Amino acid sequence: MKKISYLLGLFLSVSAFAQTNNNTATDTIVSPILAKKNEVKVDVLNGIANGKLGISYERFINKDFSVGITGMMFNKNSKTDDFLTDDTRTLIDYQVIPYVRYAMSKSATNLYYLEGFVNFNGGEFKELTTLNNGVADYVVVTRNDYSDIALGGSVGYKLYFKESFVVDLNVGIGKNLFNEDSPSTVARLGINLGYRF
Amino acid sequence: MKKYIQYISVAIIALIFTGCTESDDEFFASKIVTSNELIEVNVTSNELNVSCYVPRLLPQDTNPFDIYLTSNSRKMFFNYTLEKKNTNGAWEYITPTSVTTVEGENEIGDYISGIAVLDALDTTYEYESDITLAAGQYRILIDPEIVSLNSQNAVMVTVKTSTFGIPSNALEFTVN
Repeated sequence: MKKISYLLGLFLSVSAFAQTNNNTATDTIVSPILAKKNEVKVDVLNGIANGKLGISYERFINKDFSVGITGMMFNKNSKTDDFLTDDTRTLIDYQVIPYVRYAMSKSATNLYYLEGFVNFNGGEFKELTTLNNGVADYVVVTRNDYSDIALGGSVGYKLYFKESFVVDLNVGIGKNLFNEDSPSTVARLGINLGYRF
Repeated sequence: MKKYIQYISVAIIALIFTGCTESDDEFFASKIVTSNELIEVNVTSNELNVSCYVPRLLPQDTNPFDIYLTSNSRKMFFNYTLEKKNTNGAWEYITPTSVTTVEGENEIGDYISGIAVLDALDTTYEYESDITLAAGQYRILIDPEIVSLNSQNAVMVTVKTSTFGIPSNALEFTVN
């Protein structure tokens, strides 16, 4: 019985030691990804679907928070300009989007995040304008410029490969605040491929 | 902290779905003007005459409105239906077979689209047709909107009007 007690005591000690060792390993081994503080990305979704060139830079402040900025330009040469005749009221030419992100997952390689952003956007809007040729009134569609600032939020998911390459999906929406001619909302939708260094 | 994050997540998702249902970014190049009594219906003997003459420069309160410069369209249309009372005393739609087009064009199906065509002098959109009918009791219903046809790359013009002498835009008549 005494021998059994010694053996049980030894087993528990070994188990406890092993458990302690495991915890220590988890706490002290830091993912190499976390040591890399910068990330650049290109938005392939908007590039292919909408003819928009979107480039982002993200700086990691700590394991939970990061800040970044996205620049997005509409490449007018990439599509036929049918804005005057289609049924959309606005066309966004550019967006500059500073953002703050909070990681909701503890994993460094595979995580969900919340994002708050400010979207400085500008482009064109259409309206009906009544003209007069000296004989009669007539109505034409005219295009004019707008600019506005939106506030919004998004949710996203990141997946890292080989400790440097990243796929970053996000979806969200912002509301334009100041200009009644601008689109009332701006979408934040992207599939980004990038590199962390 | 976790609770706040959950609230924020729900708020963002709600915002996304709300944004998806908004349609404020749609644009329809459409102009509506009003001019009364542009459509006329006359019945003589066994013939129904329907006409519509729309001045290109439509008189308005201040300046006349140029339909052609606005719509870039040489055609405008309006719809009407013809019904005949059957032996049970109920109205049923008929498709007229004997139609003489005096001006413009006709598209005849379940309803009749009268197409007014801009004349050679570019002054008036003209439509007139004579429909020969067999004996019976008839009803014509006019949709009092004349709309520019194929106003592509321009503004669609809708003229809200009425039928001359028929304020209700519906006329019952009998052919003997």
